[in-house]
Amino acid sequence: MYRYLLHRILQIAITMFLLIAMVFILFRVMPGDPASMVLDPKMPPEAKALMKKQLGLDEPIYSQFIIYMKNLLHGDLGRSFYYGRPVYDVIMERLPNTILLFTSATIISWGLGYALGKRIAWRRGTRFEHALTFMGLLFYSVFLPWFGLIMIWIFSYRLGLFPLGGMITPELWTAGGAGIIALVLDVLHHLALPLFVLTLLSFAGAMLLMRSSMLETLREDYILTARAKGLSEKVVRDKHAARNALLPMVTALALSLSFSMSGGVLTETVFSWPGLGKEIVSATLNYDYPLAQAAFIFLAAIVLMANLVADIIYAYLDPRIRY
Amino acid sequence: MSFFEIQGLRMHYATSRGRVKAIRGVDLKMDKGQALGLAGESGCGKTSLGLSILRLLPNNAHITRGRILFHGEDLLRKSEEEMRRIRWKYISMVFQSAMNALNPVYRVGDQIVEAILAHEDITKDEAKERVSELFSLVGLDPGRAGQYPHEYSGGMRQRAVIAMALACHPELLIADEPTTALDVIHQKQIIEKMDELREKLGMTMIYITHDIAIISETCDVMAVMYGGKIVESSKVRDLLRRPMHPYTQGLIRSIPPLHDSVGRLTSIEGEPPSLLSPPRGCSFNPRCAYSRDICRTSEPPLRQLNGGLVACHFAEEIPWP
Ligand SMILES: Nc1ncnc2c1ncn2[C@@H]1O[C@H](COP(=O)(O)OP(=O)(O)OP(=O)(O)O)[C@@H](O)[C@H]1O
Ligand SMILES: [Mg+2]
Repeated sequence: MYRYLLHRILQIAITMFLLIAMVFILFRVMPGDPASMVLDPKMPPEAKALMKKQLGLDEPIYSQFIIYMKNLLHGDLGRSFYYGRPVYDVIMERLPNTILLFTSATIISWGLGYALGKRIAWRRGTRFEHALTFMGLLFYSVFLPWFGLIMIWIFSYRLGLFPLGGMITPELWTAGGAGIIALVLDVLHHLALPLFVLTLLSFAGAMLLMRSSMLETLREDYILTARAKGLSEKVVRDKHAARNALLPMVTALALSLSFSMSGGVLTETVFSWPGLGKEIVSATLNYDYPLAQAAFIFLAAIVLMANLVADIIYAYLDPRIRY
Repeated sequence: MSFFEIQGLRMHYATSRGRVKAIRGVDLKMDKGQALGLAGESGCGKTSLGLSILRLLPNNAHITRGRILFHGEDLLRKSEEEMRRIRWKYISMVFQSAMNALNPVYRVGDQIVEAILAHEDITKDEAKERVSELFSLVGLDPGRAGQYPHEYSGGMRQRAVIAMALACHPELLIADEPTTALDVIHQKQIIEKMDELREKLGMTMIYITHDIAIISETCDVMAVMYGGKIVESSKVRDLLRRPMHPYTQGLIRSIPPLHDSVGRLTSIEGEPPSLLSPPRGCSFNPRCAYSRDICRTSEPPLRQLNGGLVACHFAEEIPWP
């Protein structure tokens, strides 16, 4: 197991390196000149050249990359062109927000998907199964930004039940005097809609997957044995069938994380949720290389870490895996 | 009242191509402690019969007629909960696919403990104790009860499944080709073990197999199934000495002779009957050398003859060398 872990961590390191290189190059070949964004066009050319030199933009790409990697290894992500602050600080501000939205959506949607998926497979052929499967397919194929906007329009704009976007009500936080409970409630109030949208979408996939995995498992001979042993229906369903059907779920969860990451970026943007995803979009639009790069890298690192965790859970769940 | 009896059982599977009539009127009677060998070609309905008894048929299966009497009580009229309590405690089964009958994610011993605790009010430790006994009984090292199925060889898994089937000391054991996946040596070992256990525990057993040699060694009574029906049954010795039904005769001719090295093997010509649309009259008539007009129009009933039962219009006239 330890050797396996070591192996995986090495693998992750290599993946990260390639990813960083790719992101770096991608931003360099993108149309548009960062210098023109950062520098005032009215500046005299000598001052411009000096600024470029300071920012390291006059060096050839490969030496820029080497410098970047060197700094990265020292934990220095550079300065955001746009905010004029260290990128690290900006990221650290955004990261917890993304993790909050993302983990809660993942846990809720996969938990629900598991619980409902196993039940609809167990009750195959009933109206309950048909209705939920149809609903699942519907949500699975829905276009996220559109769905998000519709939700905002209905619940925030028309009904006024939820804020239009953002994560907090600034006045409440700056005024002071608000109790911790009020602040938490404020965040939850903002979180509700984006969480709902993100959850609903990945929940559908999880439920459909659990359903098909469970249907597969129910055909196995050990399920027949479990029933023949005179175990109750619930024990057969949960302890024998669902426990095995869970295995492909864990694998799929790992794979789908990168997919839901892009869903996360869209959701954050639509709901102006101040997370890494939204920052990626605005930083890219602003040619803010250092920030955009770092945000990408952090998102990728989260996905890779989550994958590793999924692998460890899998090994724990399946005794046939011996690393 | 007999210990176990099946009366006029009919069952079909609903499929997109129509009804597969897997059991087309089966009658069977067993005394306590008896071992019945059930033989017949692949697809004739043996497994379906076994699953019907435990009421474990898939959802597309429908039992349309008949009774399955266990201690005189009709299992087909029991509630699901009553049936659950009968399974394994009174009637257990070794499935044809015994190799995959163990759940891959649980320790073998725990899977047996689970079966015991589902039916008996004993502690987990007592159940574990029994698992150890069962393991030694079937020739497995009790120390391996804590391992997972994938750590077992095929033969060990088969033994474990048999140990599991015996866990609650059932009165009736249905063994559906419990040794198909094994080589001859292991087959022989396991069969002998099961036979020994049956006598020791006074179990009644239905032994489903293609292998007539095994039946002749271990069973008291033999029944031959063809096209969803029992076409002949009697004491094993009688049946092997003088098979009455042309199908049984063909079956016995197709066994490779054990001591006779000059093999005169004849297999039965033709295809087994389609259970979607079984032939009219006697279902064996298209393959039967003795078939006459009546065989194509009227279905022969299972009737008494020479101390056994046979379903053939001309059983008296058909010779056996
Ligand atoms: N779930 C099912 N749905 C439809 N038809 C089925 C199903 N299970 C079995 N059958 C059909 O029912 C018939 C009897 O099958 P069964 O498994 O009882 O035969 P068997 O005598 O046990 O054969 P074998 O010796 O190969 O195990 C076969 O024609 C088979 O194709
Ligand atoms: Mg079978």
